[in-house]
Amino acid sequence: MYSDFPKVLKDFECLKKDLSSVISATREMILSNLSMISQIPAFTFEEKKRSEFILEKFAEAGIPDPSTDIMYNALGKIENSKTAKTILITAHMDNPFDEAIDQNISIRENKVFGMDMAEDNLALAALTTLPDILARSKMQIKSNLSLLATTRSHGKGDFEGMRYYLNNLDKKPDCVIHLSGITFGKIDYFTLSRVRCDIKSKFNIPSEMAWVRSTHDSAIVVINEVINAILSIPLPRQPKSVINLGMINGGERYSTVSREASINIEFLSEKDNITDSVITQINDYCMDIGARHGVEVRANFFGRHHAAGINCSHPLIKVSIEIIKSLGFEPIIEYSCSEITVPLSMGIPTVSIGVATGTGGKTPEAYINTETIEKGILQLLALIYMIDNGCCSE
Amino acid sequence: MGAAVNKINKWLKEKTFHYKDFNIPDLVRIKEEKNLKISLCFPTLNEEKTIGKSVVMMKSELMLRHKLIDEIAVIDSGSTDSTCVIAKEFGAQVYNSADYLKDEGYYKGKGENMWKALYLLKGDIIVFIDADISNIHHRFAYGLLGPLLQNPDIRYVKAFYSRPFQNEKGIAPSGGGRVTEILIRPLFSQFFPSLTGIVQPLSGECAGYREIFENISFPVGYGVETGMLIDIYKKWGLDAIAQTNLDLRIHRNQDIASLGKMSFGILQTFWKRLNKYKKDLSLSPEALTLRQMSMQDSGGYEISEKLIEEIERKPIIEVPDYKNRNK
Repeated sequence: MYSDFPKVLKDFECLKKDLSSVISATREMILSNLSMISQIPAFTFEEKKRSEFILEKFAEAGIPDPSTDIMYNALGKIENSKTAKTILITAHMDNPFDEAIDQNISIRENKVFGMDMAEDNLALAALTTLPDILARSKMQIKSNLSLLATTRSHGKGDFEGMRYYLNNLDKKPDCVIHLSGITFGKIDYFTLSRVRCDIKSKFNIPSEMAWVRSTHDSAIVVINEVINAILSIPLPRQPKSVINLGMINGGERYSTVSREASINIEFLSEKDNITDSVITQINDYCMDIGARHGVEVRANFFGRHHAAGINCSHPLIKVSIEIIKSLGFEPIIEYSCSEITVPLSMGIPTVSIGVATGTGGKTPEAYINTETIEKGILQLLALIYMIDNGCCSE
Repeated sequence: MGAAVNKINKWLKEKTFHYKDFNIPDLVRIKEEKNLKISLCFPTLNEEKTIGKSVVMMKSELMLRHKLIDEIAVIDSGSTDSTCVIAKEFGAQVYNSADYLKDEGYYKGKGENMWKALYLLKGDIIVFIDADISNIHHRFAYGLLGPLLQNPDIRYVKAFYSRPFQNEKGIAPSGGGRVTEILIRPLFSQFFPSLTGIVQPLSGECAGYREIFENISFPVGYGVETGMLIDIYKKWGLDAIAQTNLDLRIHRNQDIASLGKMSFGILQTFWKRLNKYKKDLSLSPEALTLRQMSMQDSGGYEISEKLIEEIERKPIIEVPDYKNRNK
């Protein structure tokens, strides 16, 4: 019960000194795991090698029989009792970079630099090192811990790894802690209704010079009409809804009429029925514009998530907020479009927390502040301790 | 094939390892049974991008998780960047090379730092690893320690790596790099044929027992790898040497001008050893055999021989028929 929180927090304070010294002593392990993880490319749908590495690390840390599944999720279980509650702690393995991108990190005095390491790989490194930290600490846990590194979280992966794992469990976990990279201080516990869509306009004609043919039938012109139509869709102020034109592509060269063009969009809303309505409207516009130009305009929708979440009055969220405050930080509450949508839509209390602070971005200049990792891990241990002692149960 | 090449190929088969041949807990057990101390040294000069990761990885995996290494040291040639600060931050002992053995003078170079490591570090075994490796991994250390700990006759281990290159059959692994195949292996073929079995004589990573290192001289600059290899071979024989495949190594690529400087330095080291070991400079039939490295389908390496004899024609003016051609 949340009412027990002040007393349990006091107990935790007694452990804090030991935990801080354990985290400090294992700092090199976290950074070493981060470094090794970054050396193994894990483009979405190609996470097998990284999964094998995580399993190897779990085994090295003494987890009996770490396992994988057909999605190559990597699972390590610290089981204490068959009747105890289960806390699922997760981070995803995949990222949007293929083998050609150098993801090697550079560890400096107070910062670690590296492509995508701040947003994706750091959380995975924390998850991978957690068994080592727990084994070296005096913190006793009665609950069962399931440590899950998931696959297929990015783009068209559509959280398939997490979904597959949860759908195939006999008994669902009692709660889920999702780890993210440089979002320390942020708490995510609700997700928006979301859909992503790739719209493609394609003329099945041979390449032609613009000089000898009218350019009104260019695929780019068609996509431009689609964009204008999408932007004319009326969106309510409440519930808040947003269309983002994320990427655009098209054309071949200056002199020829473009035969193919595409746009990638994302729609977010607080309500699922608005998402449904927008999907219908986009489909209608594509059909209409395609018919007028005599061209195929196809909208491919994917990555549909339903608005899901728990209330901020849920003890898991109240405790998460108090823990961040106890570490001297002001919590920030934001929506998430991460994997937490999967357990949340199954009704499992879920919270997403960050491991450190830093600056993200898909460039080698992205960095993490190494000195904040200690607070991030301490926050995670405190949350595990509070859940274990019943403070997060309704 | 001659008896000499058979001997080299036998050595290649018996003394070439892969880092996956070794299991760290087993190595820790042997180290403890033998009551050995192991030191790891990174010779550095302006390596702030990679030194942090190198120290962190070795400390985490080979000191905290497994007690294989007893000390990690950075011996620096006067870096002007944050190399030393970063190394210290993550727990390495940091020494400025110029501050030690001052009576012996000071020279700037990797070999100087390796030589002074013998004075500064306590290990019975010392592992040397370059600090510019982007994909540093603890296999770079335990892969070299494996043969030393598991085979009492092996006293010195050299690293080699997978270096994919394009040939007519597609992607294939080669032996060494450009300087190795153009300069070193031909020189070894002529003067120290047994050493042609070393896949990458210029690789920066090696490990050995202190008694080996303390009894050889250390070229300060580019020649340290070649000089060390020749001297160890001459003093203890080929069977005291082994090599380990450490898989992929990503590091800075050097341009042709830098490789030219490196080759020039290596040549000096070489000539010194030709004098020291009173090598016959005449072109005996044995000296005309080039030995080159090739990779077997099975993944192993083999030396093949080819007689390359440069026949020379005298000045044509000395040929009577030439003189009489217009008469």
